[in-house]
Amino acid sequence: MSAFTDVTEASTTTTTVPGDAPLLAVRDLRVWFDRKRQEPLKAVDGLSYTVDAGRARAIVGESGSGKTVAARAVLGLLPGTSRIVDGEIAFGGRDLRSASPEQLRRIRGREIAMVFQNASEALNPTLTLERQLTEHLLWHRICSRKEAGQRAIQALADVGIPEPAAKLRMYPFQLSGGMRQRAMLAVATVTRPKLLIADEPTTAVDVTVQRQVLDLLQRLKDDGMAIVMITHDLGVARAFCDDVTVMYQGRQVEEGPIRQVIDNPRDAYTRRLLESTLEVGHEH
Amino acid sequence: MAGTEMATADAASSDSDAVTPESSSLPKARSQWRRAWEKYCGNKLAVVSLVICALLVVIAIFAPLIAPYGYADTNYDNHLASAFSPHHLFGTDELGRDILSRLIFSTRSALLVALASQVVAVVLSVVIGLIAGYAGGLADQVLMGITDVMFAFPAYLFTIILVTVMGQSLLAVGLAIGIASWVTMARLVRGQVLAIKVKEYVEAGRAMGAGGTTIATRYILPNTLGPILVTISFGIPAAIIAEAGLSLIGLGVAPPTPSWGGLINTGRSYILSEPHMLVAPMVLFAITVLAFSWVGDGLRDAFDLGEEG
Repeated sequence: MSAFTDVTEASTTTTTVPGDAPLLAVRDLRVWFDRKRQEPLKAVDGLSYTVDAGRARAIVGESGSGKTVAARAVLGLLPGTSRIVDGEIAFGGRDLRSASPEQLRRIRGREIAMVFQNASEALNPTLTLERQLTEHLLWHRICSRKEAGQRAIQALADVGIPEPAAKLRMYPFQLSGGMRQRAMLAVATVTRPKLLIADEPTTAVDVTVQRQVLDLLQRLKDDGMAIVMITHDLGVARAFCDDVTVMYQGRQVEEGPIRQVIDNPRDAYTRRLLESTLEVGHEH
Repeated sequence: MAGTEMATADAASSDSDAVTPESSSLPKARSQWRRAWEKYCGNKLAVVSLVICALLVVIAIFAPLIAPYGYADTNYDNHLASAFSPHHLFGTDELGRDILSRLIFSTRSALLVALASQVVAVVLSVVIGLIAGYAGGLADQVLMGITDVMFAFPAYLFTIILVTVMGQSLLAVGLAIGIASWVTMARLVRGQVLAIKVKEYVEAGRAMGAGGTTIATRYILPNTLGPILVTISFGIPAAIIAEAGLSLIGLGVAPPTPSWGGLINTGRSYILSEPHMLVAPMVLFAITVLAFSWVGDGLRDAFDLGEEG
């Protein structure tokens, strides 16, 4: 039950931050999958974390640890039969759990955006890049059509896509994998959201693209965006994030500033996770 | 809601089209439609069939201009004229009506019936399939229940009942065939929607703040259009066959409007004395059905849909 004590310690440390409330505060979140004639599957079982503007939190864990579900719950985009059974999600002082679907829809894309792991699948194959980059600007009435076009070009340029104006007319399948990943990032960030949820943004890409993606995320963070990065790679988390939450089988086993957790892990699972990543790290 | 969003998005792209310069170093932007078209053009049989279909459509549209006589102009003094007779290339029938003209007008009948049936089938099946697949749950169960009942009911019998109720005009026959044939297409649309709605880009659309209507019409529907188009291209020959079958037994388009089934039925009586009266409509009928089916085959390959597409 070391996990439980860690949670309580973590929440006391995070609530002692003086001044403004954090941009996103998730407290004691529980997400269950209902199952027929079986106990519900507790995908997320008591997770608490906060993210402030201009900071990044990594949610680290192995496959099936509930990290993706934990992040998607914030957007109200839970899969299938899952539901939030308990906990609080406060974003900019608003309670997202009690928000109506329409209110959530207005927040999604505009204030909270999400980057998906598999960019090849996450871009609509029937829309040009321009459409995908401008549609939500128009839905959310963020700017005029003319400005949206300019912003789209800028967003592509920001993610390091060469000849952005010409690329706007292309369809996703005409781009390379790395290009798609960056385009996906441009789609998510063109609205300048306050919070970006990045679900394994560097997993499906090669090392050079990974570098570019992390550089871009760093710039966004420096501009004041809050970032929640879901990853199973502690190396990537250490390179980029300020705080880390380690999840194992739906439970939060450790939480704290990334340096502290990596240099001095308290939980046995975190130590195991660290060993498995650092071994690879030593090879180069 | 979705309508205005689409309109604004359309305007957005045309607005900045002016801004974006064309770059020569990049491959030309190709939509999935363009890609499918290029693949289609690689299939010679499909291209030839498409040309034949286009020709048939032109004949159907301009039938009154092309046909040398009206389809109901009788000339009792010159009935049952042989083929290649002075004024009648394909001779005349038992009432002295020009067979060539009747063939031309029957093309129009067939394509009108096919068009009407496919419009009805597409509208019904897209609406039903999209709602059933997208909404799921009770709506899905009810709609698919209805579809299954329809599927179990013999389509031909149902068409005959509908024609009896609605009358034997071209439009009524088309509607009847359409109403009796939307079932398979509705199932196909539902299946496509089920497959597409779990794709990550649909989730991504939601994460960008798209509403339900936008997701259904902008993210899911466009990605089902390929299979729908293929189904239509197979639905056209099926409707033509259905109409000819109905006309053959006197339940199709009412005379004097010509139809292939009717012409074939008349030709049957003169098979020994005037075989061209049977052969001509049959050949034209076969060419039409084959051409449309081969176009369907070409489209299916172009959209990579495999055998059951």
